[in-house]
Amino acid sequence: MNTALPVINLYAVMPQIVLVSAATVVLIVGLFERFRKGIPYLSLLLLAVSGVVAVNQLGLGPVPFSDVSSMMVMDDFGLVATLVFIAGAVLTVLISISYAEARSIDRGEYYALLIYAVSGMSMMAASTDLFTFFLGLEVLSISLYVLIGFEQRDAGSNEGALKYFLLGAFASGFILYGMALLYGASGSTEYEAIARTLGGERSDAVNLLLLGGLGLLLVGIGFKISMVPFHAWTPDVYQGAPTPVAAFLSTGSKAAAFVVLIRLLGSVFPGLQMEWIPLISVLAVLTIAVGNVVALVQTNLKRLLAYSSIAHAGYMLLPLMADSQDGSASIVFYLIVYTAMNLGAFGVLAVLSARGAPCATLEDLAGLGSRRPLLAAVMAVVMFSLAGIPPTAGFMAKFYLFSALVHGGYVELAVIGLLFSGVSLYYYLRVVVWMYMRPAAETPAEAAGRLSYTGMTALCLSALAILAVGVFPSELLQLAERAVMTLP
Amino acid sequence: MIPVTYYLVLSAVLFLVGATGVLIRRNAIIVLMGIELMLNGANLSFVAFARQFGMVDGHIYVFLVITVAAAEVAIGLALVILLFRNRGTVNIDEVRSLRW
Amino acid sequence: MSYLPLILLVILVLIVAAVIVTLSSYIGRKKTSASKLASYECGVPIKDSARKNFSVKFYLIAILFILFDVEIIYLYPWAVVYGDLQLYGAAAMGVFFLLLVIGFLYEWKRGALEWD
Repeated sequence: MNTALPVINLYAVMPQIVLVSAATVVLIVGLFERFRKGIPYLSLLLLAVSGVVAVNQLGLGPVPFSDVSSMMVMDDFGLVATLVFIAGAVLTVLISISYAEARSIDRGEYYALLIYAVSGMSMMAASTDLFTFFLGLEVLSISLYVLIGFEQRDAGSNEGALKYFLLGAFASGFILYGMALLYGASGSTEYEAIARTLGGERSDAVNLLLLGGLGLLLVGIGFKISMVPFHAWTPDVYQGAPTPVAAFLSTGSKAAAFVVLIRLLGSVFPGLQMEWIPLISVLAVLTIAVGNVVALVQTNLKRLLAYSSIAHAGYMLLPLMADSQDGSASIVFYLIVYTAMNLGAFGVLAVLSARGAPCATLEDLAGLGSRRPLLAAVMAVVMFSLAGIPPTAGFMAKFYLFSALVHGGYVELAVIGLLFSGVSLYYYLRVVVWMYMRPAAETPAEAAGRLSYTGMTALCLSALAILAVGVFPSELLQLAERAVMTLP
Repeated sequence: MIPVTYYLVLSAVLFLVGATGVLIRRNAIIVLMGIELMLNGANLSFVAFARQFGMVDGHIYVFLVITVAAAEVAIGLALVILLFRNRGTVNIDEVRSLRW
Repeated sequence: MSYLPLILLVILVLIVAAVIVTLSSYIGRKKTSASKLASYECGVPIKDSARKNFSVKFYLIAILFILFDVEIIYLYPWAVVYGDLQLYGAAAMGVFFLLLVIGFLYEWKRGALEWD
């Protein structure tokens, strides 16, 4: 007997291969104590290499991974997402360096796991089969479980990790069972096959399996993007995690889940729109409401940013309803901007926490405007952008998002979103008020001295990017539009 | 031959028992076992469907899921041990220091 | 009804077992002594209660064992079709093993295999 071997196109998954190899190299080099100081820079170099590989593949059109089944595909959508993840990881490494040294968690594993997480996210973005999506999700999640609990002696880090692990694994169970039902309905886990089943004649039993499968998948993905009512873990985990990890968690892992959601709802499940559109619109509005309202009363900045990230997840859910290229492009645009904003916000906290006591509450920021003008300026830009005030990127992102929603005929959803976005002004601007208008407490939490150069570089870069995109958004918008063009 | 529906019902029951365990039990180790049960419920569905369709991909998925579950359990146990060292308990209701 | 013989067999086994146990508990003579009443542990004298904490190092060994143990399931399907896959399969498994060996070397160097 001679088995016909599938033709495997390794070039199509080159970014993922490079990322996994990079992480493994970092892991091995990290074993040797004398290279300890160099590990972050090695990670930056290897991340840059994988970025170059991904950039070189841009525009080469969809190339499937193999000829028998389309487990993964190389297209602009996945590549742009991968580039966003890599950029997020680069910023995370930069803000991690001083923080990790101060907490003595600057081990090779920290950076290796960060890159493994990026490879998992990249797999998710490139997947065209539920199973590669699941594997990517697990690679991401398992790395994150360890990263969140990386401060072994710290009870908060420990607790955050356990909470995220238990809920994350619970969500994985839902996703897997949903996949099993979809497999039963269509005889395959490929996106195309499921879409074909949805397009054809369906018996009642198949319909039930499809609906159940979609529902369970949405529960699982809802956990990952912290959609109400599956958001309860978010503030606890962000508060407990090491600050740079919280930054990475709030941007990267959420972005990866959204990328999958765009692929799934946009090109696999349009056939069930009658069912999921009402559900998602109600949940999105609830997510926006809960995030913004609860954020009003937070005094711990990490918890405040957690509720703000819940609210932003709600905004990003809205254009899914519009089901248009514009809608998907506006989500991609929003994700890119959101990555820069949130990494900036958590980055300020991480850079401050690297000097002495952890910087966590509004009081710790009092008087920052006179104490550390540059850092305060970065934080102010980030807060204005999160609130959506022009001329920042956050404004443009919200503008595209809501206009896509209005074009899709969901004026009332756009109005609700804008109203709550007005509410959010209060808590974002309160941070700015505390920085510039309150006098410093007698003993500032962070000691005097220079802040880490690398961290400041990352923060200034993201603040500049936010301002630049706010003034000249068209380049980035074109990139986002080009990315969603390749979606079926 | 036993019809495939029986396996599906069994897998749904396994999944629900696991999910209930996660929701009502407070011992972290038992919660972990509940999660394993959920994954195995899904595994049984995959195998049953694969058998019905006469295809092997469902079986391969089960292999992969078993591996993923092993990795997850390894991390989970490590976290629980760390928790026990820091707090002296594995009851997840007593782990609630993160509040505002 | 193709399961009927099986069900009969199960019932028969249950009856025989019940009869033997009941009869021996009524008819047999009872001589009790300390060593006879002690819980049985392979004939070795009992040292301590079984319900006490044991070293956390066993968990580490167990975790490492699970990981490497589970990887073995990929060997069986590969071994079955080894002849067909030839060089292609050997190369693919080589990459797989390389990653496993890296993992093994990592835990060795980290000191996870040392007891103290």
